[in-house]
Amino acid sequence: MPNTFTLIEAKTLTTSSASVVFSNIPSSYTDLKILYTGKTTDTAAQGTAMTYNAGASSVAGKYIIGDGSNPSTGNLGYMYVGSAFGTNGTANVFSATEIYIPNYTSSQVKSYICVNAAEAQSSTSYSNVIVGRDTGITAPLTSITLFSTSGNWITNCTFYLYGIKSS
Amino acid sequence: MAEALMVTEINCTTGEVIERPFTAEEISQREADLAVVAAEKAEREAEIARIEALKTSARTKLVAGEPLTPEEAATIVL
Repeated sequence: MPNTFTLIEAKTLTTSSASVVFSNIPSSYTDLKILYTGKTTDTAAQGTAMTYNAGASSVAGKYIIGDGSNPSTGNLGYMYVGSAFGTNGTANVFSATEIYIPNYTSSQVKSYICVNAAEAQSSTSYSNVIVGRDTGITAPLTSITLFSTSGNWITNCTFYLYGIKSS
Repeated sequence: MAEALMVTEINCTTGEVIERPFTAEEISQREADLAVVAAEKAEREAEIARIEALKTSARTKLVAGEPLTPEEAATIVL
């Protein structure tokens, strides 16, 4: 079982960006973990997404989402990684997201698990649990892209990539 | 003129961070990704609308004493 946890890179955005890419990910770990806090320039809450190796993804998986009154579940149509509020959210409140990607250097399909909480303190909040996999990529992961499905990430969003391996 | 799409790229080997405009290839990929998102969203919304219509129909039939279809009956939580 991997038991070390190393920060590979961290970035706080200083300019608004449509996407954030972790590129040239070293292959020296067994698993990856991403933590990020997100908020967008859109006027509404939006889904956020991830792609591997800068390529189109072919996705399978499930999500459970709760918005405080209407919990629902469904199949993934893309690599959904939760919700983020835009300008409709509370100022300076960001969504919190954690993504775990095991065996990212394997030649198998790459799965992920994700937990996300998007909270606007004066409005609806969203909670997500997602389990998915990209069935189209069996090459080792060398880059991961994170983006909002509408709008850009705003300044002060934070992105962390950790590597995990056996000591 | 539309504002250029920007990407923040964090090179995990060198630690270098580059803020740059999307390449043409990245723009094409983004358009493809967002098309998939839009299709998935439309499908999900259609499914929600279909279930809501079944619930409404089931309620109406229950009040009127009419038989429900199996799909309508499946929307009732016992």
